[in-house]
Amino acid sequence: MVLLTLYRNSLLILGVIGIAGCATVEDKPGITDVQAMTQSRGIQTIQWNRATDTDSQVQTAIRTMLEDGLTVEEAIQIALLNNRDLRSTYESLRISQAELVQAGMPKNPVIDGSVRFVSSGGGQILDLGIATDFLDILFIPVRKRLAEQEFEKTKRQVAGQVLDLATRVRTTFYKLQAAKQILEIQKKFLLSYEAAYDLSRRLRAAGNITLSQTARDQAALEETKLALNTLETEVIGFKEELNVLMGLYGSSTVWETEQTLPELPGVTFDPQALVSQALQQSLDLQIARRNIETAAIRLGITQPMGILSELEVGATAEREADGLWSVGPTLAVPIPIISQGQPVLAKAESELHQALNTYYSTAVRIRAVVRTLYAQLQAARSRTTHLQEVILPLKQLIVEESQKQFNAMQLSAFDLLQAKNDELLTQLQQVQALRDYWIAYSRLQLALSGRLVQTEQTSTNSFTTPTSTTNGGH
Amino acid sequence: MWKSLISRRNALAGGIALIGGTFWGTNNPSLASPVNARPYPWGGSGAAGANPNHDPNPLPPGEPGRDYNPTRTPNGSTLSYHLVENVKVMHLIAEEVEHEFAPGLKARCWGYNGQVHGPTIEAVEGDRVRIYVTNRLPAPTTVHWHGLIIPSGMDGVGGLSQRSIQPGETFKYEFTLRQHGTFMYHSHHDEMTQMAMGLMGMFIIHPRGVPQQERPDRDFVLLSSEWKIIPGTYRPDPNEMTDFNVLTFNARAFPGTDPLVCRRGDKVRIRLGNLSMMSHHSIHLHGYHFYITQTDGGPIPESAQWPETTVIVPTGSTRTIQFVADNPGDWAMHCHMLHHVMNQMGHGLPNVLGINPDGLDNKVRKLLPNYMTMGQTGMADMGSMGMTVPQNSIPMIGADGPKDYITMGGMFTILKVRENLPPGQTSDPGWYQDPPGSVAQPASTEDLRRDGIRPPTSNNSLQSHHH
Ligand SMILES: [Cu+2]
Repeated sequence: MVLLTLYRNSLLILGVIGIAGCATVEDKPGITDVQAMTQSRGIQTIQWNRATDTDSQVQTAIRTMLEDGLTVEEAIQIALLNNRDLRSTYESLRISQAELVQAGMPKNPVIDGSVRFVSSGGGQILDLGIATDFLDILFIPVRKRLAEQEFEKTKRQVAGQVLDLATRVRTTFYKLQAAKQILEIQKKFLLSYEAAYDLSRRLRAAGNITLSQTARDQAALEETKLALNTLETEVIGFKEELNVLMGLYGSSTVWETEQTLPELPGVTFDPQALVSQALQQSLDLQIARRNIETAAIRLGITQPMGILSELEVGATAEREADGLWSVGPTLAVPIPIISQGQPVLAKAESELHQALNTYYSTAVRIRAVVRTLYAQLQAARSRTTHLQEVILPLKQLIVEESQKQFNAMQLSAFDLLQAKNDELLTQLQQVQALRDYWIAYSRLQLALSGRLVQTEQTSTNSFTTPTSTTNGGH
Repeated sequence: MWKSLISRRNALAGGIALIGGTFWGTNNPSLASPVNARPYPWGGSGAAGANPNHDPNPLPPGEPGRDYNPTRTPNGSTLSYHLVENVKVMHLIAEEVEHEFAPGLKARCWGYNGQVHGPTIEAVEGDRVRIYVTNRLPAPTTVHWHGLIIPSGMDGVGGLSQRSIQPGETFKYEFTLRQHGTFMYHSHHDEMTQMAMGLMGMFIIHPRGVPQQERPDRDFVLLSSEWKIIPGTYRPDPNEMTDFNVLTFNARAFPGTDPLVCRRGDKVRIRLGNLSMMSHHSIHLHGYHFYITQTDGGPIPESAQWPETTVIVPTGSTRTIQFVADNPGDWAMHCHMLHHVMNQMGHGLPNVLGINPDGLDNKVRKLLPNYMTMGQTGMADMGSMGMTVPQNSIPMIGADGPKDYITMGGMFTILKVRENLPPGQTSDPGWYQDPPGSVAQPASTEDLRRDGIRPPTSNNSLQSHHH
């Protein structure tokens, strides 16, 4: 019965023989496609260095970029050139292509007759237990179509990892810049507490204040030193994380970043277009679609695109409200060519449904992630703006007026320094808000490039405020 | 030379016995010859059996020049009146006033007739006065005539004597003056707020029938009060209880106080009233002895007067001092409670006196570029350093004097006695020209050598004490 069914598709057999003859394993297969995918998603160039001769050129380029202040784009460039994990990811293209070539060749008769196609989901079908060369030849076109799907998936997975790496470099770079800025502000806190303690010691030397007052001022200073210490460690941590991402070691780890975070950009995202852009660009959805195709091929559906064109339309934001989405999972599967009613078939059918469901759930998640990231971005933007344009000028005004009140002997030097501390605290919060903005920005960019990011709380409140925010008890 | 001055009026219509004893002290106490007088041995209203609530028959209105020499209220004015059927009619309008305490310090206060404090009311014993009070404040008010013996219903205590005057209302007070002396008037409704905001003035009643030669040539009126005005604010804080930072004569703080100008030989009377929220004042006059001749209870018998250089004026009281201005010069007159001669001084600061500031400023300036350590040798330089201070504030500021900076503020004014001053001149004659050799000078080397004075060469000896 199986045989009869397969024979019916004589066109398939002719196709198999035709393809099998010209397949070879390339040196850097699929990289051009990956390049096209990443280029359209904001990554200028990627390079797959397999030979050692290009390595020296690469190292020269990296050294040049490290020499003066490192920019975020340069750091990304270095990571894309030099990150060994990414290079090993590129190798999976070659592995995948090799499998594709293998799929087009008749199986070695000696080998066990079962035909296994290992999909990303780990499923195996067509384990028909009919181990003959003849049958194997019949299955070549199917195997090849399946391997093609795998190769396409691999390209998108590799492209996704390129984007992931660039985003990780970007966010870590911003965290490093922010940590360094916060460290500089903390040094000013230290100056302030040093001045307060200095004054306190002089007052004590003149016989004007008690020992406990001076001790309180010294304790505040010592606590500030601890906070500085914590921040210095944090800067080192982010720098080492970047060294890992950029694949740097030895003398090449001596580099400095551009000093400060970029200002808030004037351009803003159009929230209406965000979701549809993320869906249209989505590598994750494309991979999910390949999984549907794979399942359909295994089930013997000749025109899986018939289902998928419908799905793709459904995946866009414009059609979200009209209810198409809800009918998707109950979509009727066309009659399969292999209809022996066996458990194998039932399993294959379920896997198609699984693939469909995954497609839908991925699309739903993309929508939610984009909306969440956009909300985080907007919150960080308005927080930064408010700190910068409203709160900081107020704190500066308070310092100015406190200076006048100090001049008029209405406020003590301790009160004046405290006003300055309050201003420094706002500066610090502003750096944190700007950092959160750029992290949300990077993650949203990644989502819009078609790569699903797990949302997380972007505000990693790294700064340790001195435990004593007031100067003693003066 | 200047004998005692006794009011010749033994009785007013209504049977009031009045015996005023006044004595012209000079800086030569040997000239004093006080006369015994015991006007009210047991105290009382002085009504001598008559009911003060009864309407006494007033005398014809007293006239300035004929019946009295008008007083002068430095930085202030005297309330005008007009006569209606022999009654002196006056009008006080209580209202918000933007008042200047000294150049650089203004505040929104409450006063009368556009000024703070209100104008001095001046009348003559036996006058009938009718005083209209219009309330243009946002709150009800009253006027109490402090020290006057008048019918109970005219006493101006809100709720007790009368219904308070609502915003927009005009009340009429009318009574006959049956005493002479130095009195005051002030709000007696929500005094905490209304007196802290300045609603007060002086009320002078001259004795009748004093011959010209026995009247003072210069008769000054000074009302003391105290305020809380935080530097950089524009309204007195009526909630303050103890930390008053602006102390005033006639609502002016030095250098905003006009001098008391006299000609050598003038008989001078200074009437000091005190309506401070919480303070008494020890008013000290340089260059003179004086006699305290009156309180707001009446004249002090000459036998009870003694020479003084300082008079304490309790809050709610008046004291009148007299002397002959026979010692030319520029003489300080000020409260001797020293925080009362500071302007807007801050308290609650750490004591920085005596600290070593070397290197501290540079350290702090990394954060605060305009920082400068102050006060390590005292506060004397504060006014003259010209540092930026909050808008509308005169912290610790004094004024340039003829020889150096005057490090005083608040209740500080200058009595200027001049040899040749046109009679009647009240305007500032400028600084005193000292006779040669009469000003303290740096000691010359010859002087030091002659007198065997060897000053230490440096102040290192002072510092070595610490070690
Ligand atoms: Cu005083």
